[in-house]
Amino acid sequence: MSRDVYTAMSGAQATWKELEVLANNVANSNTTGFRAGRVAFSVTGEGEGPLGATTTTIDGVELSKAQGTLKPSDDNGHLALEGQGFFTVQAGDETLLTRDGRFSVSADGRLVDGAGNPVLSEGGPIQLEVGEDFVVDRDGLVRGSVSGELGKLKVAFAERLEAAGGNHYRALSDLQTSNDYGVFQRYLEGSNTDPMRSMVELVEASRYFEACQKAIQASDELDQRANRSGGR
Amino acid sequence: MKALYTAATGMNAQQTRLDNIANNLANVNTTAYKKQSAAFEDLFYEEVESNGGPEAQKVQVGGGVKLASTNRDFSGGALVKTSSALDFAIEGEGFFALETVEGEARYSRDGSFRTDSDGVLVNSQGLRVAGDISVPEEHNGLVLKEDGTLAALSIDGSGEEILGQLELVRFTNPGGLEALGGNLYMQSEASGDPQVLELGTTTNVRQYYLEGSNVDIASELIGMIEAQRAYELTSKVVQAADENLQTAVNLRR
Repeated sequence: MSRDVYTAMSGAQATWKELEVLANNVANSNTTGFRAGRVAFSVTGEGEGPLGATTTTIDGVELSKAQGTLKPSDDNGHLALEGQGFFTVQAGDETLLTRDGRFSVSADGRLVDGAGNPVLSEGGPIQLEVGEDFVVDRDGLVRGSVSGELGKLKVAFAERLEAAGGNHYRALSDLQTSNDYGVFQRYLEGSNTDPMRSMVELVEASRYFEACQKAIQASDELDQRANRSGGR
Repeated sequence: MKALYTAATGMNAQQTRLDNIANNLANVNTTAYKKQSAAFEDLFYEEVESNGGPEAQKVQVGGGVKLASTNRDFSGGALVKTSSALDFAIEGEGFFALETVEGEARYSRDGSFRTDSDGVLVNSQGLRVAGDISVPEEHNGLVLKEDGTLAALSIDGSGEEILGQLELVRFTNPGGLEALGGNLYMQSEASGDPQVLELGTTTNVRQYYLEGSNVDIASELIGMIEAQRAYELTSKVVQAADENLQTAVNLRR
């Protein structure tokens, strides 16, 4: 076997993974606040792969920072973020990030996310009086109709993130406060999966996969010929 | 193979969304119907080994999408004029408090009331309206006051008889109410306890009116287009995954 078979195989494997990431992006094209993943490939140096082949691998899945469409909502608890950063929520003893602003007031008067986690302001969870209405301004300052200022929503980001499922993200590096954002009440941010881009990536992934197949077959053919000439 | 299943979750999600839209559109003329929307979230992620080193972004491959919840939107519908003195519409937040025969509390925004054979004020399904309001057999018209008091004008025109007061309640989290169908809702742990509403400030009750459905046909149709196209898009991914599999299988000629 020639080592170029392994080069072609690594390309096919990486593309296969890319297709899985693409499938997840497209499946979530209507998920509120979803961040599409983008695969980054890299090439290993010569001699590092099997039989010393050069191979393609996936380096990481980068979360797209593109803005999702803001869609108007009739719900007072729905918030959308424009710009950099995520809303922060308290899930057990860890802080999670989310762009999904489907918030509501729980039965005990706390502002919570769709999973019931308290939404964090810079001073902790936001507690409302019974029957109290609230407004949120562009800077994320929450004002109650009875209590007045209740705190400024904590909008943060991190360089390295991990998707935690349930529209939540976990910070793997230090949380940094965002200064470049706007909060829109009665709006929800749609998924940032770009359908056009997804289709192009899909075509690209399919064709690249085919090309890898051809390369494997071509290498196979060369081996076949070599075998034949050796046997004569 | 994972891509096939991931894409299938997406197709399922869009189907659920379409089901929801169909239900909303079917109720476009239902008195006091509150539209529902399906909310989705991404499924768990699988981590794949990478060459990126400890500082690089992780290689995470998601498993698709799932239905997170269906949310009911309690914003008001348009008020529709009627000719019945026992038709009431709530302007603002709140619910009419009703009672079943067993004495359990039910809540509804549908104020198309009538009287039963004993003259007691009931809703269209025969549930009693809270506040024990009885309408006398003979009267010269019914008047609803600003604070929700219902009064009957006497036949001889000498005055009026107070029949009782409509009881309205609000919930901290109305989205948490349990929908029972028939325009009825029940209190749940998520909704919190009912709080009695004082009429005349943010909430008013209008006599001779009914609240229409709050379904907005245009936005439902846009949702339908979105769902349909997203469905198509995911089906293309299924196709692509299938083709890739075929290509892989054909490696060995």
